[in-house]
Amino acid sequence: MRSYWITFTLVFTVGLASAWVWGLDHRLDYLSKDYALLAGKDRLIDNYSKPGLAIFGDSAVMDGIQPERLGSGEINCAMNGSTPIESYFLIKRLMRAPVHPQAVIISYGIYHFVHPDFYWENSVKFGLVSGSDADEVLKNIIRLKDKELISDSGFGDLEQWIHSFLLSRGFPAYYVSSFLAESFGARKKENEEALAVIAKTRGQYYFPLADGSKSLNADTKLKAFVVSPVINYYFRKTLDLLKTENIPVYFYVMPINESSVPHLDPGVVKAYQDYLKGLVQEYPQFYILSKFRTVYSWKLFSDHAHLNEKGTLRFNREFAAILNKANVPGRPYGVAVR
Amino acid sequence: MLFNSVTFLVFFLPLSLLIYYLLGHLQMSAAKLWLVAVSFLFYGWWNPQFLILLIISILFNYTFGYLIQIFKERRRISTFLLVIGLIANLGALFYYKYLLTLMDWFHFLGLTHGQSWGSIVLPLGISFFTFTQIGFLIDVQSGNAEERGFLEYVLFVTFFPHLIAGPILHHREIMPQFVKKETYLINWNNVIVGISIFILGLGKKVLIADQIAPVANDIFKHTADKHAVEAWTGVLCYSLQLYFDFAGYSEMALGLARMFNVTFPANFDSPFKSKSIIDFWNRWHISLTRYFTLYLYNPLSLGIMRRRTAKGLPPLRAGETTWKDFFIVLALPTSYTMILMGIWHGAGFQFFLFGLLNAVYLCVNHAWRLFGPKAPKIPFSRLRSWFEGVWRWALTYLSVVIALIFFRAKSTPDAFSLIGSLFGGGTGDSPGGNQGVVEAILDYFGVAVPYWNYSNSLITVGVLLIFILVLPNVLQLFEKEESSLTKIRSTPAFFSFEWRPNILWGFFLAVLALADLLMVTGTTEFLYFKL
Repeated sequence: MRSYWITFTLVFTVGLASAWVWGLDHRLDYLSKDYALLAGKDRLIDNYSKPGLAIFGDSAVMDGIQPERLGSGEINCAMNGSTPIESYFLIKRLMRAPVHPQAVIISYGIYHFVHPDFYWENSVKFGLVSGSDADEVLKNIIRLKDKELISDSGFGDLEQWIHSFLLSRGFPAYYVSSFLAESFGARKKENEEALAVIAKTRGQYYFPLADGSKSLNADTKLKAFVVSPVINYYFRKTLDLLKTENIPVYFYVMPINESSVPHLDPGVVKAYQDYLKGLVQEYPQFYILSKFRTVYSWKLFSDHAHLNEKGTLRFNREFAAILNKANVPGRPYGVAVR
Repeated sequence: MLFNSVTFLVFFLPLSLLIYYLLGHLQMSAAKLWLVAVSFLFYGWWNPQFLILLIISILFNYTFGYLIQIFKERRRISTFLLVIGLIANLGALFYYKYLLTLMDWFHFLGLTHGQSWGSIVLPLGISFFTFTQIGFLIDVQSGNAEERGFLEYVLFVTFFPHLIAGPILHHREIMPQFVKKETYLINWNNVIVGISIFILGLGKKVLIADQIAPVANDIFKHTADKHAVEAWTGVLCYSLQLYFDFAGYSEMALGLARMFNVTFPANFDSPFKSKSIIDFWNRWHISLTRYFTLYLYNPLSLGIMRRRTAKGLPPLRAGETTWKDFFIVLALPTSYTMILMGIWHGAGFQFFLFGLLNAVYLCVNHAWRLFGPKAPKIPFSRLRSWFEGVWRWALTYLSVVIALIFFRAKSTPDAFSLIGSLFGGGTGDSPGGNQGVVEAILDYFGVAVPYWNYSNSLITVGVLLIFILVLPNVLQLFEKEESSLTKIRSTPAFFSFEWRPNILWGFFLAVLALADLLMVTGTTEFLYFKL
């Protein structure tokens, strides 16, 4: 009996500890490409040494804004599926760098003020939000009763605490599905390539490219604009933080596919604009860069939200002009392109 | 809460077990209360509002059981109380489980117009805790149960390992265990045996059932466009998914109870080794079969037998029975019991057909025994006996597989559509998959075949069936430890071995436990939770 018990405990404990340590240490080997993109952004922030524009936003920004076409000190820290919750933690980390950016650009579509769709799956799982930060976010989720991020049935809070705690500490059970998703080693190669691209482009990464797309933007799904309380909380916290650091914040809305425009709910668009205008009045260092919202031909998109090569070329030229016209610190932008 | 959730495995189980034994060493009643509290927490984790329903159900049935016992000498009053109790229990079950379906039928038949009946959320495990308590009331009324303490009764109903999906317990085998002092004192042997059984059960769920589930789900989602090979792959996968899922759950329940020094009846005894449908139902969901036999089949069957005996008629015997006697004495109670058992599983018409089909199987099996050819006086040769066994096994297994289509299908037309696909009636329009091992072998022999979806799963099915057929089941593995209250029916396995508390088993189960834990996602529910 004793030998059984000792063997069982020893093998199980050592096995679990090894899986845990290995899993945390080798995330690049088995997690999806989104992790590699995040790791790439982490490195950009860790090595931040040349003041310029720091750009944050969702996947449309990650795909569309090319720092190398804007200037030499710019970085694109936008993340796939992210919301202002994620940008807050990235900006907080950036503030620890030896130099600060001259200005911060933030850009999120309407949808990402309403639905934080990848918060658990990517941001917590991949470590963008650390264990203690995840605990803090969860406290706010519960305090603000944000139903977008927590179930309101059962003893949901307790379940969510356990889930958040283990997920943010890399408990291996949450990672096995990623490990088994593809044959061993396949993701490592793809992830290393993605890392190299991020390093080279200073954060810009294309989604699969296509010569045009008439797919509808996620914003067209919305029938009402009800900002997620937690997103609102962290967006304001970001503005507070940057105000303290005396860094101006510029908000810009990425271009939309012409095929999506007729499907946008005018009420949703107005409520979104009103929300942003309210923040402009509240925060003196917060500016909106342009009218809502540049419409591009469907031929310049790869899918519902992401620009293709032609689209990004045109957009970055126009975006540099917008930055220059708005006297964004660090100008002139886009000199290399012109 | 799910047994296969991280919350349960990492927090709930270790904490509830640790505090249970700490309290047990201090005071028995404190440990009992703790067990009741964690059982309620376990149940309420999913939706706390249904705790109220569970508590009302317990209070109601305990009170009625108490009253029936008080009036046990006054038969009319106790019978009246029993009827009230049955109506209330079945009424609640009907409301939560069958009312909406019935209203849909009324609407379909044009009896109701344009009304929206809203939705009724089915409380988890309502069929199980309702039937457990109905059995108790019937036994109290017939003098087969005595009232014990309220806490023992609450534990009998709510003890979390069986609360949501069984096994369906009989008060006589469980309530006495909650009275014993040693139940609340740590017994390391029971803890180790319980953990070992639990690990094996969890492995069946997360390493096998969950892995083959996508194939079954896909086939049952698109029943009409499947090639016959795909359809067969899907239904075979489903039969194994259901078996490993439910047997896994039952073993987890058995193991959990054992960790708390409580022994449960078993629910499975290698049913897919059965060579007749009668044998199958004695080995599949044993506690349910026992319940229906005890409270539905026996009363009717015994009533009929008593009438026959009063008329001087003999019991059924092979070679002496008429078809009329067979229908009255055997086919009628069997059909009635099996149809009700089918409906117990769910509200759709397909569950009625599931029960009916199994009733037909059982009647045919019984008829064959009574009217079929007699066993030869000279035994068959070894080879012929083997072939005979294989044929009987295959017939039984395939009959079960066909019946399970009604159990799983979303609707009756879906079930018939899939049965059609099994025999080549599908359109075969589903996009073909990649070349699997089966196609590669056929290609090698020059047989041109389309690329079927999930053809590699056929190999998985084969491996799992061999696994089932040649290895001992959990009851056999832990026979010396008296892992359950159920008598084992299975003959010794081809590879016969037993669990021992030694280094080898310690190593194997630690690796399995690790694999279980790593594969746990907590998002896949058990199939029997819908009951």
